[in-house]
Amino acid sequence: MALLLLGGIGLQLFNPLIMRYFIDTAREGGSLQQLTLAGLLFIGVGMVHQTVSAFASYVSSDVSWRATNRLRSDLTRHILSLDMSFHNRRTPGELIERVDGDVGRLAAFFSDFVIELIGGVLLTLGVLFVLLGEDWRLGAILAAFVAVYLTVHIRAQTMSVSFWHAERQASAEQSGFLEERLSGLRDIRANGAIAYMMRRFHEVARRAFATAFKADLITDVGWTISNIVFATGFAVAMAYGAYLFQVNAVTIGTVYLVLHYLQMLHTPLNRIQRQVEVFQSIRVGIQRVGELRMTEPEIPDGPGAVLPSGPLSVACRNVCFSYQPEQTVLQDLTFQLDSGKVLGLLGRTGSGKTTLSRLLFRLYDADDGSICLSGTDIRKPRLSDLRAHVGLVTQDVQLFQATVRDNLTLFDPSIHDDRVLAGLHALGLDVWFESLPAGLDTQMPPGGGGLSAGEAQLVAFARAFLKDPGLLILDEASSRLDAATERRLERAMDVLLRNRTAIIIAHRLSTVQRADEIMILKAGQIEEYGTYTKLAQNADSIFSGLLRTGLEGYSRDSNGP
Amino acid sequence: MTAMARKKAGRRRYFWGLVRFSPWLFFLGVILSLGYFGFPLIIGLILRAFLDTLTGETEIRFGIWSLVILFLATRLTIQGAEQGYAATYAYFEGKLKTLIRGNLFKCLLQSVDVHTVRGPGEIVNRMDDDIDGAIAPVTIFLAVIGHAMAAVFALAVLLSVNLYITLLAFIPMIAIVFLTNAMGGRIQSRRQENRETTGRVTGFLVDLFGAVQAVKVANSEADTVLHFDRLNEARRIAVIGDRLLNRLLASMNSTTTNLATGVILIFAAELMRRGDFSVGDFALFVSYIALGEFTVLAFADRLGGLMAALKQADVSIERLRELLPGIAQEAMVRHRPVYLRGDFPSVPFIKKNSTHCLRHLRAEGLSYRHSETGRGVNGIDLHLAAGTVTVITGRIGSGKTTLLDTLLGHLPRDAGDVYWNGKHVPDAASFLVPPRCAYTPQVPRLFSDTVGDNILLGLPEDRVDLTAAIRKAVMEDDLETLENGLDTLIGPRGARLSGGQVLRTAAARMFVREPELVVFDDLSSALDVDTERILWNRVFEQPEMIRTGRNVNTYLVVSHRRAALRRADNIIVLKDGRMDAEGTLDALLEGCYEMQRLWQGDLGASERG
Repeated sequence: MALLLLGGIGLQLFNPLIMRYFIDTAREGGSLQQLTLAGLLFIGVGMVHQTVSAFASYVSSDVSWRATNRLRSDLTRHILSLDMSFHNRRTPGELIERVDGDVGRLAAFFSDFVIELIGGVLLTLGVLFVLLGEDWRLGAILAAFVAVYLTVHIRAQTMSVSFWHAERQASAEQSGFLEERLSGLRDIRANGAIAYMMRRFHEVARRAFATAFKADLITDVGWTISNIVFATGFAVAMAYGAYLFQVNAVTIGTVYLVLHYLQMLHTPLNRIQRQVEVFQSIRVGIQRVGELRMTEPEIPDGPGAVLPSGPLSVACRNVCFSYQPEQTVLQDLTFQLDSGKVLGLLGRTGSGKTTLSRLLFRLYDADDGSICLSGTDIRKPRLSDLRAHVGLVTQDVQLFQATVRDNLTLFDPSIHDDRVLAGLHALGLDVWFESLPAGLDTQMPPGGGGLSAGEAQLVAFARAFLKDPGLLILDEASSRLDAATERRLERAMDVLLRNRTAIIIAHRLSTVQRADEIMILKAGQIEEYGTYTKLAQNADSIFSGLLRTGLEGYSRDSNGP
Repeated sequence: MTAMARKKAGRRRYFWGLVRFSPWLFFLGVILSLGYFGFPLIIGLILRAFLDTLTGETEIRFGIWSLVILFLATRLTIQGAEQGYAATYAYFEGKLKTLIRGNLFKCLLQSVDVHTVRGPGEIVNRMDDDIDGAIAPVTIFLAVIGHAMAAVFALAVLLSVNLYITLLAFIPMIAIVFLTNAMGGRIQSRRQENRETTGRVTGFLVDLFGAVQAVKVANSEADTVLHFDRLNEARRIAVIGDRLLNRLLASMNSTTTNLATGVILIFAAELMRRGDFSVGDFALFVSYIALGEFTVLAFADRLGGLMAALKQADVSIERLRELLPGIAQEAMVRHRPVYLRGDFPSVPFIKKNSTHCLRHLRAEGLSYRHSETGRGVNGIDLHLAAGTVTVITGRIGSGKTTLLDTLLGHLPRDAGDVYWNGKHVPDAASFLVPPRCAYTPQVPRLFSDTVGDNILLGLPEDRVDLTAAIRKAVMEDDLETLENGLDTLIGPRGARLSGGQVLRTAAARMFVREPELVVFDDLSSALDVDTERILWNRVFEQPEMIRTGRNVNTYLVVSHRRAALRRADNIIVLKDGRMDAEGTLDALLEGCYEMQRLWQGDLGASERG
């Protein structure tokens, strides 16, 4: 790489020397053969230079893309390791802008960096070196000029940094806006909000335009200043060259060489200047990528206690939790669930049911109190080990634009196809599977298109099934299933829950009927706790009341006029 | 051939539409481009005069100092022109980008069956890069026109100096233009590959960052990152290929420069020896043809660039059109204000009046088939009388949601007609909107804004009954728990709300529009027993409304809940996309096996209790 670069620069420096030789030889009446040879040499040197520099550019972009791909990968892994509190504050569009936008600009920068910036600097030094050999004063003037030029330019560019920062921000905001709205097209259309969204679009678009326009103009002012400095330097060289020629210190060929070199410098200096400019906008990106990498997950990984395999018992002791200070979600929660038992968790929305399940995964850590699985505090095992032992099925099933296999195994290559197929069979997804044109290799269309909400739910069941956890949490898992499909799942549920501890969070009474124990939460506290049979038989219990109101609530007569 | 000709004519109309969108700005750009790219030629002439004055080969018209000052003055003028050109260019470009992006966004909002074609991440990606690609030829043209004028001027000067050398030096340039053209196909396919692999990377990131919690609890961070690495690797190979090709093209241009200069050296040798070709002439030739960026070759280069950009724009335009199947490319450049300055467009408020009232809605033979799965609905008839409740039920995959989407125009129906008060509705998607109809989908989407903004979506707060809508959606308690009430920011897609809160916000969003026809798809799926009961009660407070003289709503609901089924005046049972039975609950429980099965399934828990 370095050889390619140096060779290319040597060749670039050599060609103007051929020109000087040519001019001086022609004016002194040298032989035609010599002149023609000089011309041919000029062409040859140029050809070699082009080949060398094309190859160098190929090598450098390959290197930089490999490196930035690694950065993308690291960054994505890091982002995934950050807490949900981090993710709930950021749109996917914003994170994509970091992982792909900023890093992409880095890739573009680094693939040109070696060639343009280092190459530019070396070429400039080469020119100065050659000219110093011609006349030291000429070289000194040029060196001073280059120094002034670059200083002025870099100064001029620094003032544009903050503008580019704002530009990137506004552009990310625009992407985020569009991405989110495009995910909710039906909602917008069906609520007659097209005109409103167009107005919002124009607000966002104007911000994106105005910031880009401003940044562009400011950068351009910098260019103008730099170019004027360059022109001044060129004028000085003209005047000094004229003086040297008139006192017979140099030949006309050398005067031409100086001017030619100077013009030649304009390109590498501009490249240096362009790279500095790109670097300014990159710096913002690097800074943001750096900030992101510095963001530590608030949930520390555990030291590595080992959880037993098989069903896990759950013990919560005095657990308190709030997302924001002074907004308690769970308050002094204590309960014990023996291994292999099924707990039905009831309560109004906002009572803390989902929060409890998040604590079990350590998506958040309890502010106070402790949670133990089979006697091991969940802060002790590695996070990955904990999450391998606990499974979750939610009503929102996230599907990827990937193959059906990848969607079921979540890209885990160690899960064999036989196991996947067995899982599908156990869950009664055979019919669906047979309708797939390419079996497990079928590509899922974006947004889970072609899959009904109920089927998506079944896919989520299959995921949990393949993971084979010791504790399974079902969060309103069957709420979108109609009764017939739900019944079809019963047998599969039996298989899924066998030899596992389970917590079933449900709004519907029918989904907790397989529970051994019932817990009703209210405002983050246990309102009632007991075995299903006891609570159901006790006419005074809230649960039996719920069973009754549930029935009344569904009855036609109770709400009549 | 005719298809080709039609495509070419379409492209011409498209580009012409872009230029005409802001003709004065375009014209100003052309003028400034002439100044910016033309004036540097004067520098070459000054240089020639300078060298020839030094060697005494020309009679002295200007002193050395005058030439130096003239040089500086010319440079300043060029900078002035450049500044103006850059500003005009950026403004013009900004206007075009916003125009196309806005048009696409509007079409996407209006058209049906869009997101089954591409995911939102992919669409945003295309709305970024491909819009740049689709307008590049127009902005590049501004530079080309300046270069063209500069090239004509330069040619005239060179021909007047030496006809023979000028012609010889031009042979390599003509060759390069042809070569670039011949490589067009390769450029296009490389670029397409580059774009596609990039699209796959961003599409995956959208999915991934939208599913962080699922990935975390599934413990599959490492595996998903590995998959991401594979996609990245595919992109690297495509990008490097694309770049290498571009680099080869660029080096061909430089090679041409080199060849042309060599030709001058070889053929000017004899003339220079004889004194027929001065050092100044030589410098002029080299600077016009070979050095600097503002020369004849730069024109050929830019022209080659324009041709390449046109080919790349072809790819980009096609990729943008794929987002909007069935919509002409002219729609992308349809002229309308872009609001980069001045007031933003107002959001019209349509007050409900008697013309919006629903007496009856009829649909005949509604059919739609999903192309991927082959499933859908087939030949469904609906009849909804004002003030009635119709429940669509059926098991998973029976086509309930598809039926709603087909009726409301969110899916392009294969067959069927809709009649509102007996009048045929040609475009359901734009007709069945508030205040006639509002709809809450099964998985409602909210936007990162405040709760209030999400409910109102631009409705003037003082002209609607927000409190009533919130009450009807059983949201009043939630608002008290949220830190800033209606002004609480809910995070991306409502991530800071619970599942039930999202649903109720969406319901309030529907109710605040006071639609004649209320359509919802499984509204109660994320609600607990109590909340659900209250909700159904409030939703169906019809008799009270009649007493108070307010409008009577008509309901079309997808549900498999008993609470809903019991309220229904009419139940439609779907099975495998066809209507299995229709009637009252009692009648269906009597005579419809499918209904009995659906009903039994929900009975379980209640019986046990």
